[in-house]
Amino acid sequence: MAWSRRDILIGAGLSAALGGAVLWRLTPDEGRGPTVALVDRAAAARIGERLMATAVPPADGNAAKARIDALIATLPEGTRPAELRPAVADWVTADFEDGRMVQVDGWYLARTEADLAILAAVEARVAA
Amino acid sequence: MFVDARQLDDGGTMAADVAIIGAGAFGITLARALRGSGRQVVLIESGGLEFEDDTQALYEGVTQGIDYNLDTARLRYFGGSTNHWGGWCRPIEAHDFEQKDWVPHSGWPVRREDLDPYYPRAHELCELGAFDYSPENLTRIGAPLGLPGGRIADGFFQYSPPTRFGERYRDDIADAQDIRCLLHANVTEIVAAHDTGSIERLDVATLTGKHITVTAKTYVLSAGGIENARLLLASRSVATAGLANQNDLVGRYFMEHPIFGPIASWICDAPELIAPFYGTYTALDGAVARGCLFMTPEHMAREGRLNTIFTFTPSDEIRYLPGRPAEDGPIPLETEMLTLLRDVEPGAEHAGVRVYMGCGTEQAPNPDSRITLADTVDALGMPRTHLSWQLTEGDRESLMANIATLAAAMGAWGHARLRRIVPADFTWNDVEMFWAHHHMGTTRMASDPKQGVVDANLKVHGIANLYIGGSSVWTTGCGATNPTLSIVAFALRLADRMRAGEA
Repeated sequence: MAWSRRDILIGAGLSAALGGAVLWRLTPDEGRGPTVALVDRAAAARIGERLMATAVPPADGNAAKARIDALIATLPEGTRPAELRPAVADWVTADFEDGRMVQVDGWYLARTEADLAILAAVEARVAA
Repeated sequence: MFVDARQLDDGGTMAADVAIIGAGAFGITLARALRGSGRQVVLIESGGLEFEDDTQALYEGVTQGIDYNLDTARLRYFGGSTNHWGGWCRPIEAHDFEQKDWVPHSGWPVRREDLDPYYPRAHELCELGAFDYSPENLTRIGAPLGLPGGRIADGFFQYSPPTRFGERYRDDIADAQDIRCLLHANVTEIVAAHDTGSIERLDVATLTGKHITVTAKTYVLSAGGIENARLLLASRSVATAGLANQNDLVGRYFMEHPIFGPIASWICDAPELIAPFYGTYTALDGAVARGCLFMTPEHMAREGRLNTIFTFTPSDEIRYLPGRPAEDGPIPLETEMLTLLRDVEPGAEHAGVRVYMGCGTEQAPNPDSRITLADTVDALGMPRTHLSWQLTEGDRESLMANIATLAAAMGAWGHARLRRIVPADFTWNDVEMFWAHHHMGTTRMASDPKQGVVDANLKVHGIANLYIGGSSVWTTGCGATNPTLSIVAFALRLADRMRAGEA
């Protein structure tokens, strides 16, 4: 799959915000990276903000992005955003099964959904 | 028949075949089960047939460590603490009897099979339904949650009406020709023979100043998990360290069941999957049942954990209001968490449900949690109870890990996210909780006299004719399983052994 200029710009913008270098392998039809897997990105962003404000140890956007990148890299080239949600659901289930959880305000989240929430919060900051 | 000890002659003597100290669940069950056995029974009760302040005050004592109300945690009149029993019943699980490498001082000298013949009869006495706690029985009133991963199991309690033993079985005791129930009679010492190998007599006093002596062939101490230890320790005219205390075990290993009201809440996008029996009392073949969740033995063994039993409240509807600031909701981020579970239309009235969860949790046996005698005395001149009790960091860690395990199982289930309410860094002295009033461990059961006070048959090690009944003989806390049903089963077992001439 060939990356479009638009894909690269969006990916580069988010990567710059996070200080990372990896571009999304997905085709972000909706102008977003993997957070398109979230039902409500605004709601997720609020979770992400709480994670960044209160998590102990502090939530790290770069680390979150790196973990999500690593998961995305396991997907077939050219995976469409519409196909991402089932994959995220599987990763979330695997996180819970293996005890990879993050706590925020007492809530237990799967590592992957917490990372996506952090990315959603970063996106919201970039867009603001 | 009932006899008021205050009406007896001062200095008198009463003789019987079996003397039972304490008319609670164990004492009443044992006395009742010995009717017609050819043995004359005297059942000795400190209180009368109703609550009396001056008798209840004999329970006052001193605590150190965990703050605890010794005088309100139990009741001292005919029927004992069944007079305020909540009625929750489950048998002790088979794995609870086993020695567990990760739980020091665990391992009972009896097995579940030893009690199984008695549980159905105990069920009848506690006015419960069929003795069937199998998952298959549960499915008859709804589908269990069946959380994935093999770490969390579904189960249920049955509820006794609750049976007030002092009311329900009063006529049986009154009408029995071979039972004399001595009321307002306080045993102040269990007096051993000079070689301490047997019991010679009981010194009994009333709050009106009468003193009488009770003699019997066999003595049974069943005055409650705290009072059993206190009375043994106070019986020191022959054994100066206290009766049956040659190995310094009497009073040690005190355990309770910490109870948390809401310890967690969870949201669920599929309320139809939460069977009503989890949140409400539900009829089950003439019984009343309520669902619960607990740790599987496999999980506890793998992770080295104690058990926790989780119970539910009825669920509340959650309305999905996207964009609502988190702080406006009853629970921070609750609305946001719901969006991780499902697509919902903004403003949807029935987007999901919120369920609050309470729990009872297990305390590991700890020899440093102990009952000793206080420096002060009660109205009878008996040393009061001193309870020095510690819940440990290990107990706390186990509870927190079990909450996380439940959160993980719910997350993997795919329909829920769980929020811990109790602070992550809580300490036992500052957290909001209450107690089940289950007093366990102070005369623990073990085959080895160096490890326990009584043997597998409730006989006190080294004393030929003294038995102990009640949850003071519990070796471990058995999760948070309420002990009354098993106390009754043990009493029936001892009665059968007595009837067979084995005790």
